[in-house]
Amino acid sequence: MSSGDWQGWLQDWLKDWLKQHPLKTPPEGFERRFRDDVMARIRAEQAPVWRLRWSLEPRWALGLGGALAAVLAVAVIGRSPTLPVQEIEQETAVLFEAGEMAYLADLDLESELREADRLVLAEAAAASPSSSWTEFENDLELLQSMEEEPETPGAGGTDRVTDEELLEELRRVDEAEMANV
Amino acid sequence: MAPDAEIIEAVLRGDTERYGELVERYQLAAWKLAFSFVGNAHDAQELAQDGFVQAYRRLRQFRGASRFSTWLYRIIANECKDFFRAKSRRPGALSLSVDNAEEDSVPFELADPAGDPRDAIDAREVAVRITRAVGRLPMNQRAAFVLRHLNGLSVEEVAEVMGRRPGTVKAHLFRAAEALRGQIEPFLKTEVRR
Repeated sequence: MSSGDWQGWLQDWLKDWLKQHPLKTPPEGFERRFRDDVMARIRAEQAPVWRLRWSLEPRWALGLGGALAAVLAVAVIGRSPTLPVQEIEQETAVLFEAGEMAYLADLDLESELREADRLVLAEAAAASPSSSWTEFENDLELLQSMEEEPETPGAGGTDRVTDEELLEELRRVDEAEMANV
Repeated sequence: MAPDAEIIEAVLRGDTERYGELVERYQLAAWKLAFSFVGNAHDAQELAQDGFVQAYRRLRQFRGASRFSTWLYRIIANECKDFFRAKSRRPGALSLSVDNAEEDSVPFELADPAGDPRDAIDAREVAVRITRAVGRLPMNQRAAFVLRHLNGLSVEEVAEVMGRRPGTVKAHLFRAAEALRGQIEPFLKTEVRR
């Protein structure tokens, strides 16, 4: 039997055999569960973006954690050399009594320090390398999500193929596979 | 029954729940496709569901150049390929390349209570041989064979799903049939003799 005959014969034989022995069917209750599971996952996609990304992308959690740690570190380092407010107030009171620093008389020291801390925190967050990494990841993710699953153009031709066409195609496939190796 | 395009349009307008209609419509075919690749129900379900979720995420990119089902099958076939790539890093994990194929590990229905017991033995033997042969095929040949013969797609549909030209698909089918021939020919000769 030639290869061409064998091909046709095998196709018919397989068709008959699969009629008697089809592919197995899914387990009982499959249809209801399958749809529910898929729709549950899709509804989860509708959840707020930050929650979805947090759960899907551990790097986001690490990035955000890193940024927070950096902010906290800057805040702690920035505050450590300063004295507690009460101590500063005591010292300035002494200086004030001694006639020095009269210009501090109307100053609300606690609110001024709080404002300074806020500025330090804001600058630290803006300058944090983690925040720019996070933005980069965001763009990268966006690009990945835009990656298209291309639809192939409609293909022409029929099931029939001449020996020459087949040989040419086999040669082409072999060459492609060799090139890949 | 609403056409696929109408449902897709509704989903894209924000009526997410209507995607369930597409899931219901194609879930069995999607499961069978994944099952014919991986050979076990659990992985098939997971891969088919992943395919639907991926298709939903990329729905805006679907332009209708092919049928939704073809596009979905393509996504699922790629999921299956990725699955095999991941599994191939763990030797012995390929369902379709088992050496001691038990009845549970062949993806075909074998039981025929009314049939001759000798036929049942033959059917199991053939099923094991087909399963082994398909499991040993390179991925392109396996995909072409599974889509064409086990899922009954036309060569043109297989070409669309695989993103190859029909001629290339025919070449892969030719090679797959040659590999299968070596596996099942001895058995077929005894069958002819009887």
